[in-house]
Amino acid sequence: MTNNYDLIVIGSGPGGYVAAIRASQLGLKTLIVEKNELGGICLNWGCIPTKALLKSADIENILSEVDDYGLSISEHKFNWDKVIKRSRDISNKLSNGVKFLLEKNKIDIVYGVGKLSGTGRVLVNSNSEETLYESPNIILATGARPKILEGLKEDKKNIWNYKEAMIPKKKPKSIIIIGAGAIGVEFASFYNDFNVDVTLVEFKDNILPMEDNEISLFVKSEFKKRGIKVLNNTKIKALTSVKNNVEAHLEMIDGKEDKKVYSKAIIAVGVEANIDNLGIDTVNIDLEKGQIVTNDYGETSEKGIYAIGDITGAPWLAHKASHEGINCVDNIVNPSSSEQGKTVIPSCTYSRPQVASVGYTEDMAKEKKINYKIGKFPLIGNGKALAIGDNNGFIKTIFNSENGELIGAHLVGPEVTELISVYSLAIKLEATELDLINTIFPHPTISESLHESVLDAYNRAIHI
Amino acid sequence: MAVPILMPSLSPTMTEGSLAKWCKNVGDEVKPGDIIAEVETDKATMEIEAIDEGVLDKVLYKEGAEGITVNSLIGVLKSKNDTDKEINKIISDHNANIINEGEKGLLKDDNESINYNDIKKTELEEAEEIEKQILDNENRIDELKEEIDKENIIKQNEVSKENIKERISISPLAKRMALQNNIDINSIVGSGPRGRVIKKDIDNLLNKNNNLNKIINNKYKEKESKKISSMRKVIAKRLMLSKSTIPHFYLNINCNADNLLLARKEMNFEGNEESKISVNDIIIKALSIALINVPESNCIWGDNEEITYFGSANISVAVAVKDGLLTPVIKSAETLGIREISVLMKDFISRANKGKLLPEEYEGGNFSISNLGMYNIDSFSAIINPPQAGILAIGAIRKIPTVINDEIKICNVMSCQLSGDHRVIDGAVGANLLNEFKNIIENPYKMLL
Repeated sequence: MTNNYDLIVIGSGPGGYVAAIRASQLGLKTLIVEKNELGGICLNWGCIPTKALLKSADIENILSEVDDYGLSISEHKFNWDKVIKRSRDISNKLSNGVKFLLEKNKIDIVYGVGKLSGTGRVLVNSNSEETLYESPNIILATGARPKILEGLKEDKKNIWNYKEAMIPKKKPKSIIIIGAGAIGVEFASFYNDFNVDVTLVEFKDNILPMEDNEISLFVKSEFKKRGIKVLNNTKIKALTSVKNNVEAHLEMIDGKEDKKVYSKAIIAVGVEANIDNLGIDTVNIDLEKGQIVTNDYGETSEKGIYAIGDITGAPWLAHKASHEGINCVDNIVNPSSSEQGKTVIPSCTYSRPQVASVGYTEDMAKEKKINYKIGKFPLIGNGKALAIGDNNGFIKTIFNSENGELIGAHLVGPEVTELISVYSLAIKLEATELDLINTIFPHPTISESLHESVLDAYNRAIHI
Repeated sequence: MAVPILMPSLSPTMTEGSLAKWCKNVGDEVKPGDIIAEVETDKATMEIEAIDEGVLDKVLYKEGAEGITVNSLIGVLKSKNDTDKEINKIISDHNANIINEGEKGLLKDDNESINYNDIKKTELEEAEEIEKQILDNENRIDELKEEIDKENIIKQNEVSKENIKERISISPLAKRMALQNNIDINSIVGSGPRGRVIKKDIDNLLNKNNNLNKIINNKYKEKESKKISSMRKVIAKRLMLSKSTIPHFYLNINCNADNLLLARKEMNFEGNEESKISVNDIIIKALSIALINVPESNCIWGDNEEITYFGSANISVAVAVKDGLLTPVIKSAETLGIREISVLMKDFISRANKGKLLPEEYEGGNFSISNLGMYNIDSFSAIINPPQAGILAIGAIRKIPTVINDEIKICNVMSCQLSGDHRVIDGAVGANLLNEFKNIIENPYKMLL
């Protein structure tokens, strides 16, 4: 086997493996380098295993409500080990799936730590043995890792990162979650469903701070109803392991301080790019705030070196990485087939209620001085939501009132993560309100409320 | 009863027309016989006359709108008792959209527009260099900005929905933005997938801070695209069809025009300047007789593997008009006197220049004459006017030393070239026709026989 390739991808997460498959489709001889498991964090320690856990939580929740549906069960229990094991099994299955896909596409896989060694060269350290691979095109797709704030370092025993949080041997009694982004909120929802006393701490004044304020407020109020303690405007000065517990030193915005003891703590304060030990210094790549600077095609300032996904910064989302990977490879092979310009990136949180959004929040629209219209439709007006017994939520749409452009959509409620693509597609295809209004949504579905929300923006909603 | 006003069919071949002019404003009373609007086809302008009485209530196309399909609704005449509902029903029955009455007549010709998209990459690079130079001079660029901002906005085509007839790949949002900003979407090259016009393209056109774009436009100011007229469209289509499907062959003959000129002089001895018979009038007559005398050349290639032979000679005569040419037909020219032909031609030429020829006046020819003698052309090869089988190209009459009976004489010589459709006219037949024509030209009395 010669060590020359048309393309080398470092990292096999949703950015890397997708880029490699696309390259293979386009006839490039491709090598992918992975230091841990194929599929990266997403498959193994991120998106997928947490969804498996949340499904168990959902069922647990439904079982506690079966009476409402005219059913009864004498007793329901859960087997914690099995909940965790199911999640792990699914991850393994998918990781094997990625392996199968890579092999099917005749992509060479090498396990080891890859790093740049000048342009066109990648050194892979595998079991302390270094091998040199060469290619005119190298894609860096090494992702990101949890950010470590001062005084908040995981010890894996009582102070966890997401990884420990999804494989606990024992269900903790109480838990403090630091950071109320998507990860923190999902863990809060999960642990709460299994009767863990959850405290969710966020430095900013709302949870899910990236989402539209109304959505965040709604989720917060739902969480409070479920017994989750939400502490906004609160900082954690320190976390200290004390035997089998953890002591948290909290500081409120007004300067008040408090010390409380919890069984476990989960740190979910964001991520930072994996650029260390990547040989960045051997080439001429511009960095900004610890992230690699790229253009629309993933090109870095060094010719022949590309970067995609979390390593290039926010939003840290698997689907963004995959999209960038495809666009990057398309551009390498045939620049006219790639896409320039702003991409439409939806974002989803799988707590109960689920949150999904795309485009501008209302605050962003204000900030950009866009003349906008708001449409809002509560799920209580939706027949299907009532029928399935889950009408907690609403659909909010934001239109540019000058030209009818859909500039933002914010959904909260059951399975809204499956619905958001309707709006993404509308934005991508540049539909105006008329195109959405003229689209027939099937009855009875929750998706009808997507239609109603648009109608409402133009004062035409039927079921309000 | 409200009366729909439809795009008339002015000829059997007409599929679409342009709305040249509204002669009535919305709200004007219309009496039978009033001219409501003028409609333009590739060949002529026609007036739409009112048959009913009423008030012009709605207009659906602005002045200048092109490509309006025959029988589509262009306006509605309202009579006294009509309700808006009835009017709207007519409109919806015709599947049409109303334009804002206030905009009527605002539409100007598209010809002023600059097509930015014709500018190629190399030119872009050049422009970048120029940009650098200009950037050195801060004062100048400020002036430039102001000037070109104005130009850009003004020179964007003013458009209406009617101009967006052809299927153009454009996002709904981009389409709406283009309409809101009076940008002609036909002139935008899209940057989306497969050339789809997207919001970004409109934003770019509207972006006043796009210096590069401005400087390119500034540099290439002299280059502009004009929208083609419906006449030009037809010329292009027909000649393209002719030259690419008809196997042309060419025969040249020189005619001694001494007798022709003498005869003409005598014919014009009486009468005033305006009624003078032209050389061309005589040529029309001569060709018609030649065609009758050589009937195998007076034919056309049919679509169904057949050749149609004509019993009379309908001569299409090419008349140059502003921005194109028209071919009015002298029907059965062989039966007409030269004076009759002359009177007919004078009328045709005058009305052709005003765009007022009737369809039946330029259709149905079976052979053509194109005379560029008055343009000082010696000889040329003309393109056959389909479905005809031949065209005679006439050059200028020149005094040329000619050998006659072994003596050199100065003669008036007219060079004639026949373009023939070889599917129906072979070389010998063409030669026969030309010789017959020459014979008549050189012996004009034969036209009397």
